[in-house]
Amino acid sequence: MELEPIIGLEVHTQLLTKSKMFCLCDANYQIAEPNSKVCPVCMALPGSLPVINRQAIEFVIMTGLALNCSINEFTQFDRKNYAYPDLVKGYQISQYDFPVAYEGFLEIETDDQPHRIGITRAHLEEDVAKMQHNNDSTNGHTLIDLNRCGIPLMEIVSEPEISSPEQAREYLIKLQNIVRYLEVSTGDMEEGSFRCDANISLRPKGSKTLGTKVEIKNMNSFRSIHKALTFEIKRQTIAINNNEVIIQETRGWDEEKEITFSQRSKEFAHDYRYFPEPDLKPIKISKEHIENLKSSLPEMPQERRDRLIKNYNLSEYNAKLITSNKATADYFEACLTSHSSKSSQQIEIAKSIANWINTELAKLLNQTNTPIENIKISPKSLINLLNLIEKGTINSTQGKQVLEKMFDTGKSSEQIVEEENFSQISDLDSIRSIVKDIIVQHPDPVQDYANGKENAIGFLVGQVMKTSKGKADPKISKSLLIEEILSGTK
Amino acid sequence: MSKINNKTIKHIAQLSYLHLNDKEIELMRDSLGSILEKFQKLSEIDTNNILPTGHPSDIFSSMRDDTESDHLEKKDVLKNAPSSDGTFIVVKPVLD
Repeated sequence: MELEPIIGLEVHTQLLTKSKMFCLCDANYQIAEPNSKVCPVCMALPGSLPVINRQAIEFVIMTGLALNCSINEFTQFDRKNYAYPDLVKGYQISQYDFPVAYEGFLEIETDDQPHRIGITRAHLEEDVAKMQHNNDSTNGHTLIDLNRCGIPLMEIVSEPEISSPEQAREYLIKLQNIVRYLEVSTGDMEEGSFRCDANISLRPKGSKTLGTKVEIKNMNSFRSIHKALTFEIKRQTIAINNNEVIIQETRGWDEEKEITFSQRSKEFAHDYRYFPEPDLKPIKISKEHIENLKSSLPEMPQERRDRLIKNYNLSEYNAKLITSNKATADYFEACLTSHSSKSSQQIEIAKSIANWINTELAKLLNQTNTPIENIKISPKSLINLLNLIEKGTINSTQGKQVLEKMFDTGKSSEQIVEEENFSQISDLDSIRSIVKDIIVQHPDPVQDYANGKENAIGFLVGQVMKTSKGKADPKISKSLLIEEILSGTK
Repeated sequence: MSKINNKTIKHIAQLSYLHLNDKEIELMRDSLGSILEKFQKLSEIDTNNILPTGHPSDIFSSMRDDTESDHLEKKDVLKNAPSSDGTFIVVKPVLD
């Protein structure tokens, strides 16, 4: 029996407000000492009352609009009741039947195929305390830090319309990019500002009913989400083919063993007994307010991609990579701004900048796991490097080496070229003498070239570059090699 | 006729972290049952054209600006904890 996976994703993303959701505590808790950003409201002292942070509501409206959602003009908070030590009040203020935003969609692409994934809702709630279990400092207990209590948390729920781990990953990358473009969240997965739970079930292909779903938690990178879903599809397929019953349960992802496992915590069956939050009145959001937010939305990734293609004639591929991360796109445009080119040259220089960012710079960023925001090379500095290559002071192979040193040290390209004696050898006599040596040392490829095997010249140019420690101008080297070989065969 | 049975009482007790003995379960079933019966009366009212109401008055929340202000000293935060190590609140293990 052929089975198909049905996946729905729940994303919790912390909003980038200055203060918490219902109190005035500093929301920048990540680097703070444990239990140091807490007040009577977020630690749930009796008699304290919540007050709604307008900015958080607006951030959810903006996200809802960017996800093509309808916005509820009447929205309210509800109590979600459960007893767990991460929840000091014994309930979480969340939203139930009147979420801020509902019924939208997100368009993604996998294998060049477009897919439209429905968004069920985007609602607002408060984050809970951070707990530590089973590590060196817990000593068999659970440790609690209340700093995270009350951080505004937006929950975005997709329809169960995702049908592969690849689609799930694309959906999440796109969603992360959107919250970053909107500047409503850092979208950072490692620090826990962007968290994802997945619901997954299998059903016979073509069937309309959903199978028993399993919820997977604890996945903290796109890679682990992809792996966890792939594992779970395999596990459920084997179970179904062996006529085993899939149990509706929550499973954790074990990053080391790369398996999902049944999570048995002391938490019992979900019975949240939602009811309208009596401490907060409902909220009315006027059409005018929604329209104002709509008109002030920043440029979204797709629009930016289209603009870069239109204005600078970038390839679809380059434009997609550049805009796949807001910071990269900002860096790219800052480079263009600092280049004092005439508009006729802009297309050429834009292409060159995009190529350098997407290949050499991307390689260095990946290798060192550095976000482009923290890069030591200023846009102006990258442009100066490209100018040196353009003028022929160094060749592009040297350029890559200079870039690497700029990346490590933050020094300017001019300084590195001077200090490390990088400049390109372009004078004919110097190169010709190296060329003559190479011809003597490698008679076979020389003969091959003379016999019409044109590829052989690449090897010989490589040898000239090697001998000159990368300093010879490759174009001049090639033409001198050809000249010398042909004159030798006459 | 009471709509509530022993199983429901036990479930509610569990959600509330209460331990009830058999006698208390009987007692709660009867008294909660009679309260629910009284509320059953409300279902006789025709509510077809009436919107659900979460709050008795028609006013809406006013919202505040996103500014931060003082918080408590850590020592005061931990003062209320049943147990602490000076940095964290310490509770019984919640994961096996």
